[in-house]
Amino acid sequence: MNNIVIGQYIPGDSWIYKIDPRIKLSALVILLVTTFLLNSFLLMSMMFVLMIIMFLSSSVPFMKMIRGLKPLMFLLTFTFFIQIFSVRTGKLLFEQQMYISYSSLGAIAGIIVLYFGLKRFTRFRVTYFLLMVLLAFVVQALLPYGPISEYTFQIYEGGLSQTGFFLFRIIIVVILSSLLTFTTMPTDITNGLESLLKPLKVIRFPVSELAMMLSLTLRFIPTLLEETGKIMKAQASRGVDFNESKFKDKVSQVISLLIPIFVVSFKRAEDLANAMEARGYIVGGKRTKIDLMKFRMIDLVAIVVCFGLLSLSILLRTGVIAIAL
Amino acid sequence: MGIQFKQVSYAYRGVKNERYEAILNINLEIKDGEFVAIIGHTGSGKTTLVQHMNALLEPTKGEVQIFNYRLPKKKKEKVGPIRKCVGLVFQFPEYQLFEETVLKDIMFGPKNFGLTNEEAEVKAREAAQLVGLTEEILNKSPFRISGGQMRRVAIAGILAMEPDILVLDEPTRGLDPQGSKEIMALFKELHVNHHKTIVLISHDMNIVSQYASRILVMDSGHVVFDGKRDDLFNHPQFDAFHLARPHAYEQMIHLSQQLNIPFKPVYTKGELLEHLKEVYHE
Amino acid sequence: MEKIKIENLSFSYDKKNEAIKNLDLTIESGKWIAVVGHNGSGKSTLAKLLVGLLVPDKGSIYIDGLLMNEENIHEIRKRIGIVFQNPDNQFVGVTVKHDIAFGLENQQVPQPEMVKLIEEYSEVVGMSEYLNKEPHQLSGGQKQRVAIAGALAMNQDIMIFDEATSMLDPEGTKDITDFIIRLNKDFNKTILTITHDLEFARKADEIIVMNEGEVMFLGTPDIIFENSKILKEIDLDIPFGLQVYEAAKEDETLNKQKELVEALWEYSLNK
Repeated sequence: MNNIVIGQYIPGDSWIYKIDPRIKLSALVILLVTTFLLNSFLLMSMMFVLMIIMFLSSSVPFMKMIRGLKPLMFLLTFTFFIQIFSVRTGKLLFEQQMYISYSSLGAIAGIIVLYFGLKRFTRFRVTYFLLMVLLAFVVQALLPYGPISEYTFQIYEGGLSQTGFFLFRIIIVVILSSLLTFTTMPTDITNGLESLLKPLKVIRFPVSELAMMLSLTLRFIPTLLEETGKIMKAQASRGVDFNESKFKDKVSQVISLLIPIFVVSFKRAEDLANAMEARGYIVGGKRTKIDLMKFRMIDLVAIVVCFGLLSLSILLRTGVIAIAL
Repeated sequence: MGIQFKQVSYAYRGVKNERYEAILNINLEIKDGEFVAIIGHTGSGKTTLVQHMNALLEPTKGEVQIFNYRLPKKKKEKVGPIRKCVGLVFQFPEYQLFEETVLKDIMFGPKNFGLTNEEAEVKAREAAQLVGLTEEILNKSPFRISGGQMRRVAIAGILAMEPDILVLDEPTRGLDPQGSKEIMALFKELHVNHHKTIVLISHDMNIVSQYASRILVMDSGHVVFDGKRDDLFNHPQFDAFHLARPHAYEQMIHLSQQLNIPFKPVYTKGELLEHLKEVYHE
Repeated sequence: MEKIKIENLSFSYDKKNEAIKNLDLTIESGKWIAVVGHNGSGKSTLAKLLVGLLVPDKGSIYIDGLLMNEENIHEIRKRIGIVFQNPDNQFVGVTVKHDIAFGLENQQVPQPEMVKLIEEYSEVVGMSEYLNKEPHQLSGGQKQRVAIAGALAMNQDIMIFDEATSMLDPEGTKDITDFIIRLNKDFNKTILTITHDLEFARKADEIIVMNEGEVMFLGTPDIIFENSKILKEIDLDIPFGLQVYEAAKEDETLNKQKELVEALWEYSLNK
């Protein structure tokens, strides 16, 4: 029951924790824009190093962030190869004749089998995956026997640099957003968002109501997860077992999960509305907040630095300044 | 064949990867035809224990034997069929109802275990009759009937699968006294007339003592008492179990002390009055 | 002082069957009234009407002398609070601290004052160590305690408990029932408990027995239990000790035994 935690907040007290959530949110946006404006490897690497320093000084465990990248590995590898093959600008850096032949296809089939077969024995799944992918390409270079067709694998400078940029950007986005979620409590993120969006109230945008909805959602996710678990067990006791049933059965069995969850949720909504109203909540009414957000020196420094980086990056991009390489 | 627990423990990991042991070193045997009650405070491990009985959970240590099945199961082994023989009724089982009509909902369980629509309907009607649901309720939506009726529908849904062993997790929770009496009478009938083995989790000492011949007391994941009800209530360490005594038993103690009359273990109002009549029949 | 006054109140959910019929009721300040009756008798409907969640078809409700209407409902809600049956479905805040703060935020209480109130009343209900805990980490009883803290912080003189212990385990139930007694005796709150539990109801100052939307009987617990036949008629069980006493009185062998009958009566007073 206690296994679920809302968000990924990890308690700590480094400098990042002390920054006002509004500033953190703004900083995230500013730094992301800055990163996407950079267009040279040198600058990108400098930005990357800056991010790494920021991360290491934040006292967030490194492994947590690495784990955050894992789900992206498949996408990244896929994009990597698409870019490498399709972009053909700049110098030709590397060329290799690749054979699609019976022998190489057979070898690839063997590699796939090996991958799934040995998957459970290694803990370094991602590295293992990448290794297998590399192997699949190596065999295409080495096995021309029983030829079907062939192609030339070419790596151009343009392809490499575009891919490099892409990878850098993705990784920086992940680092920055992880930093935000690891060091800011979900309630603070909601408060920060609500505060930043306040100006929208002028055009009658329901900012406070949205924030309340967000907050209620956060509050109920663990509860809903628990209840889903209980209903799954109750229906399992009636013969519904997602692990052991056929696909077509699974589809109809999902209804036995969805309907009870919906029913519980609707009842909950009604009860909650009554409770909130009885406790004096008025939709659109003025409220004070228990959480305080104070703008301090560190916040000023942080926002100035961010704007500084942004300005630098705009000036470099528009050519007003140039860095001698 | 019953259910056997051999040195069973169940542990799981919490948020910070710390280890929680819900139950430890459980050794027990539930024989066919028994009526066993399991009592203990919240967190004592009762629910974890009974969820092993229909393979919802598998022991992290030790072995559970349910009829011909052994847990932990081997890879690729299917344990779904256990749930037809061991029917588990959850707390607040009303929450599991979802079908268009009461009848269809009761048929859901049997159909999942391979019965045809016709066969399932027969079993469903039989089960509905057992729990006292009328014909007109069968055609209603399960969401348009009273809470007490919903509970009966949920119980019928398990009974329709014709399990040999019935495990009931606090079946009277949230019911008023009249409703509790009716539900417990049903389980007694199933035990006596239909020879079902019953395992009952309850907080209500009055119910436990009135219906169960064998009582298991759980505390912090261990079984601290396993025996007959008379032995439980005059156990020398009874106070250490932090349990209440049944109303009648409690009053009997008081009266025997105050009025100097012989003590006899009694568990219902009827038994108490009977005994008093005997005592005062000069 | 008349804290709650209800005059000729009628309400029906579907305009066909009346859930409350021509109800008249007065509750004095500082009293603890238990409302009993089986499901469908109108107890919960009455509770919802008292906090303005439902609008009566006929009749009036006065809280602290104020006639309840659309204009002053917000003022009235500052004086009367309610704790519902489902501990999860009334827990609004992401943490204990935020939930206790919820009502105060609605009243626009300044932040520093909120902090003090939360500290004080979380201490009173024994949840001061849990301020940063999330609701799914708490038991039902703990959640209900947080609800009580929230109501206390709002300084509402009247508190309604609508079957607040029905979904709790015995430990939680005892916990909350003890608190309710304290709220009445130590904090002088006017309390309305809606309950099935006649053992608990008999501790109240007065019991209202409701049946089919009407007040069937109103009186002190002693008077009510003397007329236990009425309770049996509407399927309500009287406490065990009392049942034994009544049965003994009816039995020819036993009702001659003065000492026994005395002892049974005495026992029934506490049990």
